[in-house]
Amino acid sequence: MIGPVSLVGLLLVFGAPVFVIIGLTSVVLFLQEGMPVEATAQLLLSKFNSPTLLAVPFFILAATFMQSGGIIKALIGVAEAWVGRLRGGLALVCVVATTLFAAISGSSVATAMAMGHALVPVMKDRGYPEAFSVGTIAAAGTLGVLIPPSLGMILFAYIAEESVLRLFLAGVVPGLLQAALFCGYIIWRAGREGFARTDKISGREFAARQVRGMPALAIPIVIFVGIFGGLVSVAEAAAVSATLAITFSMLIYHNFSVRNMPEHVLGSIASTAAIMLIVASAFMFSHWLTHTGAPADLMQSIVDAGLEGWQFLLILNILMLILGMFLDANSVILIIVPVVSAVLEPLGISKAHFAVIVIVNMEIGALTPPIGLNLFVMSQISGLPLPKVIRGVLPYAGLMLILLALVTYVPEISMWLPDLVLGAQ
Amino acid sequence: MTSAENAPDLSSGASAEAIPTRVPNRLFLALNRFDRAAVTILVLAGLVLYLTGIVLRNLAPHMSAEWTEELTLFAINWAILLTVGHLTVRGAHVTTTVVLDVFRGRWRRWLAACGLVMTLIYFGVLLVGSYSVIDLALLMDERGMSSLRLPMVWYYAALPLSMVYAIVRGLLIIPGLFRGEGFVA
Repeated sequence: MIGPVSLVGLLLVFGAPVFVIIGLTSVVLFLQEGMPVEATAQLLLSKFNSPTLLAVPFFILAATFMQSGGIIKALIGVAEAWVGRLRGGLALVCVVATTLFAAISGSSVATAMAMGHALVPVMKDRGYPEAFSVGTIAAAGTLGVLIPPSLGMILFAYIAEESVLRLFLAGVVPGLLQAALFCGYIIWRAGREGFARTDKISGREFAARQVRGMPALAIPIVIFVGIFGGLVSVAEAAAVSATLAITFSMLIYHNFSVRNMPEHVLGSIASTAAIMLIVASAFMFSHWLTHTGAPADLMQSIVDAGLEGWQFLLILNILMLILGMFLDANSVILIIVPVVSAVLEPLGISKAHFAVIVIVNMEIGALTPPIGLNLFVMSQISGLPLPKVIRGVLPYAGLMLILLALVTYVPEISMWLPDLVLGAQ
Repeated sequence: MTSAENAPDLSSGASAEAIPTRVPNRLFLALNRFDRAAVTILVLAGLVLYLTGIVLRNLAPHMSAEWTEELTLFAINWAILLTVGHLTVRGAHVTTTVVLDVFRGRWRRWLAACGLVMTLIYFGVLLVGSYSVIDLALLMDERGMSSLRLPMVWYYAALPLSMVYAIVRGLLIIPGLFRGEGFVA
């Protein structure tokens, strides 16, 4: 019988989908262990049937409608009124608007696409260097997966059996810190190279933009008040968010017609299916892992090697940075978390802290070739060759590595807010 | 989000040589229309039901309908599984083509077609597995957890049906893939 390693190699040569690589390999591993293959279907159906995972399609639906429904333009208008007059204002607008959008969307690629379509042509017109513009948007897009709500964190919480709320809260301060690091770099670079400011706007225009942006800004507020007020669960908040996005796009921003709705809905659900199939396959792999006792063996090897928490995290960071270069973020989360989550507690690492480390790694993965999705998004939108986009992203990738070191070795950055709101675990 | 529906040619990584896209024929257009209609109806119905549950629970707790969540899960999961075939014939699943990109021309086409064959084999495994799940659910008369006590077979049936749908659609495009006609547009 074909071995699992050679099967993975073969499937990689075929360019097979990630869920097929994980799923078929799990089937072979099941057969080798004498486990019933029928369990694969049972696992898929039982894992899909989870109220927590309902958040995934609804947040993706919300992001799709926001992207195409004029909400992005309203957010950019608000951000431009706030910071546009500073030197390098449009780049700052990108980071601020992305931070706002990230509080509604849960995805890095969706955020980069939305911002890219809106800002790349404008930044080009204002004379910003092309590589700098696309680099800024690609890097800022990664905020979408760190600032809550985050699809990655929902998946992490589901697999590691941790509270989604705690993970969401853990992402807030690191997300704001990342935005601040990016803004600091932009201000420094804008001062050095004399980037343009945006045109001055009147007080009336300022007020008009705030009013126009209010419905869009209300969505994250509704989400957070709903969740933390105990009115709705995370999945219900996602459904409310999707409903608001559809309603506002149609009734307030008038940028969306009912005729286009089926295409957007199908697109959102297809995106969800692509993620959920990987989730289900990863659970099969995780089921096999648990059956073989691999996590316990890993723990034993860590004890035998005398590794401490910081050394373990260093090794994991290197591993995740490499994996993140070749796999998409959700796949890495679904491969790493089942193996590692059991050994975190004995090493004194909280799951929420680890979740933030994983997410920052995945953000870096979205910016590094050969499979850095945000790079491809920006290359496609701007028409720039990939090497030029990579050049623009490099300084931000450097900042992200600093952020990774900070969140890895200063756990308070991630844990201060969840401990304050929900109490220490 | 990494699926190709939002970033079709991005999720498959850095393809050095794009597989040519063939013009969709009438059958695929009809199937696409069916996908759009079925998925939209299921998702919007699920969304409305879910919101109804939230509103009733918060505003009229005495009328609280906990079964709305179960029905929403059924509707959304049916929609998700139905789109598997749609993703498959578009080559729009999340893939990593780092190794595939080493190859060129006919070799690359054939290897990509083999990737689809392996995908269909996996769907076959899930199809066979789902038969046992449904068989057992019918035998045990397995019911949902809500007060509606819906037969779980209604939900489980989504897997075999969507796998058959995906396999049939995949089989329809495999000859074209080997000939170099590419995935459906």
